[in-house]
Amino acid sequence: MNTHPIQFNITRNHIPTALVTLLAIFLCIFLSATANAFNVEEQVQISGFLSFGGGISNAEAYPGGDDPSDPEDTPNPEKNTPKYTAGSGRFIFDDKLNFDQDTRAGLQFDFIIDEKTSATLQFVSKGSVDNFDPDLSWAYLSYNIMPDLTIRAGRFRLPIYLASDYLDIGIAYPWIRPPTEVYSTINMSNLTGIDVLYSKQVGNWIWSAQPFMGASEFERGDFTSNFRDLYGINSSITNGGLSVRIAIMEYEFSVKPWPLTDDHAQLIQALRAAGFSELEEYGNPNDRTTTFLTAGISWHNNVWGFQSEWARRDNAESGPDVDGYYLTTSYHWNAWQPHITFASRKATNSSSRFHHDRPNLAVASPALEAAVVGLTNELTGIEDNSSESITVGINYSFSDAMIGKLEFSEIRNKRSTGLFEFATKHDKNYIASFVVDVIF
Amino acid sequence: MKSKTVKTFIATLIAQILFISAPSHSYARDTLYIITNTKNATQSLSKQDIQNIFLGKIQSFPNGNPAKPVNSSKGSPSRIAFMEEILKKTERSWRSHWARLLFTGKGKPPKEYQNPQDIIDAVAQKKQAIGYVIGNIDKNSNITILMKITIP
Repeated sequence: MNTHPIQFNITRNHIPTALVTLLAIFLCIFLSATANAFNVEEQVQISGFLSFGGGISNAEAYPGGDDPSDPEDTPNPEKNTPKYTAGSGRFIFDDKLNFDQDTRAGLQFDFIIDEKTSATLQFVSKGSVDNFDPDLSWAYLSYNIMPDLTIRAGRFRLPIYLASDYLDIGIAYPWIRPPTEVYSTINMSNLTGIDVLYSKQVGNWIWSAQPFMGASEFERGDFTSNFRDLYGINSSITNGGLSVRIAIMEYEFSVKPWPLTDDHAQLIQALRAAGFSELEEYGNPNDRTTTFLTAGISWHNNVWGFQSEWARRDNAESGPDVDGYYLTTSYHWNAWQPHITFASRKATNSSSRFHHDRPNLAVASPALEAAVVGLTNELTGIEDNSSESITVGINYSFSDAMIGKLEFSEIRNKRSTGLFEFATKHDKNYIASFVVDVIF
Repeated sequence: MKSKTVKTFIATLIAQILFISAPSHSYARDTLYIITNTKNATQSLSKQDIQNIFLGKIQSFPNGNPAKPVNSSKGSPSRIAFMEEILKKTERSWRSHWARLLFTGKGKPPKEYQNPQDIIDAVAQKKQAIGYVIGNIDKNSNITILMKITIP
């Protein structure tokens, strides 16, 4: 069952979008007003990226609800809701060749306002989100206080993973898409707030730190998710081709509306009537603090590359805690780059996180208990499953700005439906996919 | 004539695919000079310091003063030598490295100049500049040699 993975699979951002659009308009006015004093070639840098990819899987496009003997098989209301984005989140592949998952394009404008100040706008259009409607995904001002100390304000990428900053830039990493087991542990990808970039040389090492704070709001289908009071920091040390990085972050999460549906409201009423009001709060993700931790290491020379990351999400009370990791090794041979990745994720508290009143409820009212379990599963969706995958791929660099990639993955779903957008009856899924990544 | 062009094209294509790279790296035995402005407080740097500055990993010299690297344009003999001897990077990994930083807002690649004299001029003019050239350096200009590498 794979219906309302509330906290963790969210797409778009609405209120900040308005703010950010306003900022963009303001910037454009400002820029056009100063156009005469503006040397376009010197002061505006335009960069772009494009990925065209397609893939196919053995997972059927399965709307759910056709197998009454299977308790996990209920209608999937998410069938028509926006798909979650490529790069992190679930796979939207099915048994027909699909170009939506990995096809995207973006344009980035860097306006150099003066020696210390610049403004960045990035527009991204993705097949996996809103059918290629372009989104203003980044808009920030950055001010260089001194060399290696920069403060930024606006909307920017949440900097928690090794590849966070360049998630959409396929040419910057070996895979077709970063390993989902780690990169979907949190799906909020942009943050509206402030961050600071700092680097310092210590002997042969370079130490960097990036504290950040802000908020994010996303809408998916019938509900809106809020990430507030978000604070975090990442820090890394680098020496030549070796880099070690850790990040920690905390945020308060809420979802609206709550109760989610009329059925949900009725369930709460029924629990109260049965004297199990403790359970009514169970599964309520609102106003809980979530802690998020990641650690990563990467090493490369001109021939070999090695990269590994681990991520853990801890919820204070309800909801599954999730652990994910991957290991990637790649080898360069002229323009060719074969690579292999092992990845895994699991819910670490799936047995202990049910409320202790649940067995009592099971005795008092088995039907009600089943409804609570059903709701819980619905709320946590894919979060409650475990899976492992192996991905092998080969890349070919046509030039330093264009790479073609072929990849084959085997995903073993240990519980529930795995990482697929639609429920799948298979324990094992395969994905064959290709992409051409270009930067310009 | 036409068929010869096609033949050459196909041969090049095949060579490309098989990666029998053309002997394009043949330049005379020469010296690569890493240079900075005479007024710069930094007058000595390690290879790794130079790497870090050109790769945008750090935007300052070890003493904390801002560093402004100037690069030679792609395909120039000095850039080929610099990439091999100092950065230890291919053009491909250079490009993907900068794609990462550029699309992160964490840095922009060093400014590039086609002409070696332009690099000398840029370094002579800017106190915090660091660049590189191959061959003879005009002794009168306002630059100091940070490092000298004989190209094998």
